[in-house]
Amino acid sequence: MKTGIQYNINITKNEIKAADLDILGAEYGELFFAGGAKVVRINYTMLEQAVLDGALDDLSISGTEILVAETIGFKTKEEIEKLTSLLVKCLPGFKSAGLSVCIENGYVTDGTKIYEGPLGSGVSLSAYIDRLNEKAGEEFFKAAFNIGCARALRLQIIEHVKALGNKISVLYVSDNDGKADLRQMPYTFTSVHSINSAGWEDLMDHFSTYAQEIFIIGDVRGTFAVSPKELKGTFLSLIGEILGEWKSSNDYEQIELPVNA
Amino acid sequence: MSEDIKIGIQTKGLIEKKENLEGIFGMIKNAGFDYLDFSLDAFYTNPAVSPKGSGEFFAQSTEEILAYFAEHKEVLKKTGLKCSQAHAPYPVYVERRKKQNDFMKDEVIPKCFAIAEFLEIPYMVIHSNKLRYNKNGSIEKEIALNLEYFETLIPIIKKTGVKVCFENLYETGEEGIIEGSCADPYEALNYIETLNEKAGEECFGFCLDSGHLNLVRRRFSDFVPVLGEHIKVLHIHDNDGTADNHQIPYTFKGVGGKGGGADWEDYLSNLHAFGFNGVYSFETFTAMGGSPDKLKPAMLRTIYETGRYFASYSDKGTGLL
Repeated sequence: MKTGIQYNINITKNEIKAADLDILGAEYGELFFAGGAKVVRINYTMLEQAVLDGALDDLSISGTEILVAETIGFKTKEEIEKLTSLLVKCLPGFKSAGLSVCIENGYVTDGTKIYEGPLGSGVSLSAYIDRLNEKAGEEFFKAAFNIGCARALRLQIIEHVKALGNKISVLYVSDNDGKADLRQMPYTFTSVHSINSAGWEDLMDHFSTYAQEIFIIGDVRGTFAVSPKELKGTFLSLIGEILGEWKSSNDYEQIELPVNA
Repeated sequence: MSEDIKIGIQTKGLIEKKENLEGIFGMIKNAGFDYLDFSLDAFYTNPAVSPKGSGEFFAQSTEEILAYFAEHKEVLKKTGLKCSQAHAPYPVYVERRKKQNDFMKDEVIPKCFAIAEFLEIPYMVIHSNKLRYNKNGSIEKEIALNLEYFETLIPIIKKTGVKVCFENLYETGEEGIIEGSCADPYEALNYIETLNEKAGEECFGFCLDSGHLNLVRRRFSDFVPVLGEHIKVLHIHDNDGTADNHQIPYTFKGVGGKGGGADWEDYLSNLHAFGFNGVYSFETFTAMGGSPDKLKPAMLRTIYETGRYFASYSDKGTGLL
């Protein structure tokens, strides 16, 4: 398990380093500022353009290991089929650039409310990835599960994480009020009755025994957008400690085989 | 640290039982805090607000209760922490519950004064009574009841030196959160000025609760200037605008200002405008209660750093990027 933070213009590289996080995640459109990001999120339009520009190799050269296809706003079969065609067509390019590719759960919004789209649930995302891999002829595509997107849809998050099984390679961590995708700090939407908004304990328990390499990334853009600049380092340290706790509870990397195995 | 920066946190969510007091007080001190808001309300959850309510603790004699807090006093001294304020159990009055009301007035509140005096706590928040939404109630009846009850406290305030603070409250109505007692700053000002005049000295002040103000959609700029120097203590916490979450400031709004968090620029600019020089005290028990034990020191440090920013706030060169 490796921990990371989604790049934000409001935080500095020194602050990121001080927060004891392993990697940097970034939006594709911010790569100019977030050089060296290992996990890069890209929407359909930008992916199409990146392929046309022959930019996949550049990503790999600059250190990117995983490309995450964002699906927020996808609502029709046609849109999904276009994504499928593009991903399958680009498979050789992904491979030659040494990139892994994950598909992220999303939602549909009319600007005021959030609705579950065809790739909103863990079940539907899992089925989609199966279909993609069938077309690819191999188990190439994986999942990036966004806890904040699932929380905004008021899903029972742990059930959707379990539905994805070992497909999850990237976990984006944020919290919200169950109405809007606020990208805020985990644990802070806990109610006065100590009900964990996103079911953080169940999620931590689940990933403590998760036997796959996984990048767990704090995607708390909302916190950095609304907090004063004097506190950004403090909040970054907090997300670093929260994710560090997830990492230390995961025993996947500590497994040592017996000498005679 | 600068002498005039004073930051505190409530004990609720941190010290529920008398176990490992030194360890917990030490953790609070290590995070940077110098002050505590002693949550006496955690020792008696009134049956009117919780089915788990039990008056056993306050049924003990004052001597027994003070003996219970002797260890707290010793550990406070040892760690260098001071109590800036306390919160009394609530509600003091519930219509048609004479036995319970008598217990609150005759046992719980006087013993809270004794504890506060023993622990050298200068201010105690006591919720004013609610009557305005009752079937036969009204705001006028509520105000009369409160003036009558709080006037009876003047002798014990003078005897113990523990001043009482009113707090802006909310209530939960059929369609969500509505204004409660002292949600109107002029109502609170009337209580404080009337009672201080009766006392002939300053016995009453105000506790500004940021979360409650956010819930009733009042602006700090409409509230703080009215009460000004009557504001003696703070309850700092944030929420989503629909529930009293008692959480860390800045953790509710999102990108584009969506979400229901408090307007902290409005809060800070108004507090600093009249020169508030008390303790920046956080009432953020769910941040502590809702996070795993191993993360509590990190949560405390985040709250403390937020307090440092609040206390040293200047509207020049700060704000969002």
